[in-house]
Amino acid sequence: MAPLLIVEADKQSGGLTDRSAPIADRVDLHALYNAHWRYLVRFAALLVDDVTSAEDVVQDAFVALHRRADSLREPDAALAYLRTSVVNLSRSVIRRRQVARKHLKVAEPEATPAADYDVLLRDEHRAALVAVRALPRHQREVLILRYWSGLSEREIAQSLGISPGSVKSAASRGMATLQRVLGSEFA
Amino acid sequence: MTEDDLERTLRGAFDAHAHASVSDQASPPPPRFATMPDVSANSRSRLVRWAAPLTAAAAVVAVVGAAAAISRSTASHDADQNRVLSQSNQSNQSTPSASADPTAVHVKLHNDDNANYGVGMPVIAYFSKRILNGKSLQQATTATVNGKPIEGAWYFETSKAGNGPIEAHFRPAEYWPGHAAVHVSIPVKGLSAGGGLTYDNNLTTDFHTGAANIAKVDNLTHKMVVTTDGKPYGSFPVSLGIRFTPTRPGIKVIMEKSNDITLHASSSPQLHVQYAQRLTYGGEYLSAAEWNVANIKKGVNTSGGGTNLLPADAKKLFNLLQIGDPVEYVNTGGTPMQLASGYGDWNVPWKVWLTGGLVPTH
Repeated sequence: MAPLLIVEADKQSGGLTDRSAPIADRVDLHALYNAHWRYLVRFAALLVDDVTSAEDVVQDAFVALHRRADSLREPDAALAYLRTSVVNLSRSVIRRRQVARKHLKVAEPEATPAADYDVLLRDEHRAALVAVRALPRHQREVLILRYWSGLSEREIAQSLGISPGSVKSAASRGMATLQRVLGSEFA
Repeated sequence: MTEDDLERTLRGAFDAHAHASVSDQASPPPPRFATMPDVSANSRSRLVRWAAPLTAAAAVVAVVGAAAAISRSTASHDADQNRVLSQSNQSNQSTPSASADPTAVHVKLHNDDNANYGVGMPVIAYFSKRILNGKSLQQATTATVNGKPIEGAWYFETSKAGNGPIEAHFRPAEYWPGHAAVHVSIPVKGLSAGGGLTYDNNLTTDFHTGAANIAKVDNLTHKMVVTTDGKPYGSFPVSLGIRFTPTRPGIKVIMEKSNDITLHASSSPQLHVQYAQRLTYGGEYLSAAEWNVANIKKGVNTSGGGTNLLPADAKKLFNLLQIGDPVEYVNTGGTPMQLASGYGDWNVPWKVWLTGGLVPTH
């Protein structure tokens, strides 16, 4: 039975000194957190429409990164990992919310999309956000990433776990729907 | 609308949404990962030694188990959230006791001493640690209205205000009477909070209730009807949440008032919103909405969940209503108002309230 590599290291060093060096030695999580917290919470808030959940999502994404910081040495790779985590965790938030809605009696707090920034938004912006919220998930995510995140098409595909071709087609379907909805409302 | 117009609108809308949810001035709360046990140090080496004789597969199971344990232990750090509201009340907060004693629980109150509040205002306490038993707190706490004792009780919830892991609200069975002097005394220093924890301070708070203002918003009539001290004050047309973002039904309480909220969005000029009175942490407000006058007059729901008022009405109500005044919503379609979505206290039936919620009190 071949011992695990990690166990070998343990035997040799009498502990895991090599591998248990502070995580900051690989990717400086605190620096990454301070630099990207605001961007990521904004991104999550666009996806889940509720700041409290968005903040939770970002905390959880960093916790997940913290657990596997060993394998991520490049800040860029770490940031890509965080973006993907935010997307996936946001999807879970929305799924949980839909389940909660089906069982109204056990609805969790914040189960409605808060979307309560209305007093802060202009008319056409509010209408656009309402219309985007009503789109199918992929289309919604693609439009948010394309018109807000500043990422390339390839990075968008990577963040969402879909092909660049799917990004393009989801974007054009989404835009066509928005054209119809918003065009008629403001005609 | 051309494709370019649509694109511009989307960029503007996403940008405005992003800035409305997190302002440029917002600073990150302490990261949750920083409070986690260090995965790579002791715990793992102990685990690995323990797993040494096992196969790779078994070791994987052990690591997964460790990850599960860590995620459980972080659940209690949920409250490191940086709420806008808690920032605006910093002046009221005494320094949390960072005392070396790991068994000490420090309590601080949200309420301002000698303030004037509406009749729906709960007394809100934040705890430095998640206490396990609220019986001693409940038994020690006494309240008087104009010098006469009144029954009240504590109810616990996770702190949405982000002030420590848990918070409790104290209220009587019905709204406080109007025009009354309320005194609440919380002599808990040295008492047990369960699980080996002990309170390290005593507190009191005094406040005055103003006129008994009650606002009722009915989605069938699209009107907000306000009474003050039982007498009709006025009826005001509103536009509530559009069908995608319905306004929550239930009783909300005014949490803060801001005469002028400013939005700084890079793509749009600064937008000022006046006479805003906050009802939920999520951001439902009573507010002026000069952009929405036509829909308010027609009784069409177009807001993102907040209550849009005609500017003149919003001003009038801003001057009348006070922090702590209840606003009751009926016939709206959203998820019912929850305790932790704001000061949702009055939606919890008194019998349920007496159980203490997250922490038993009786």
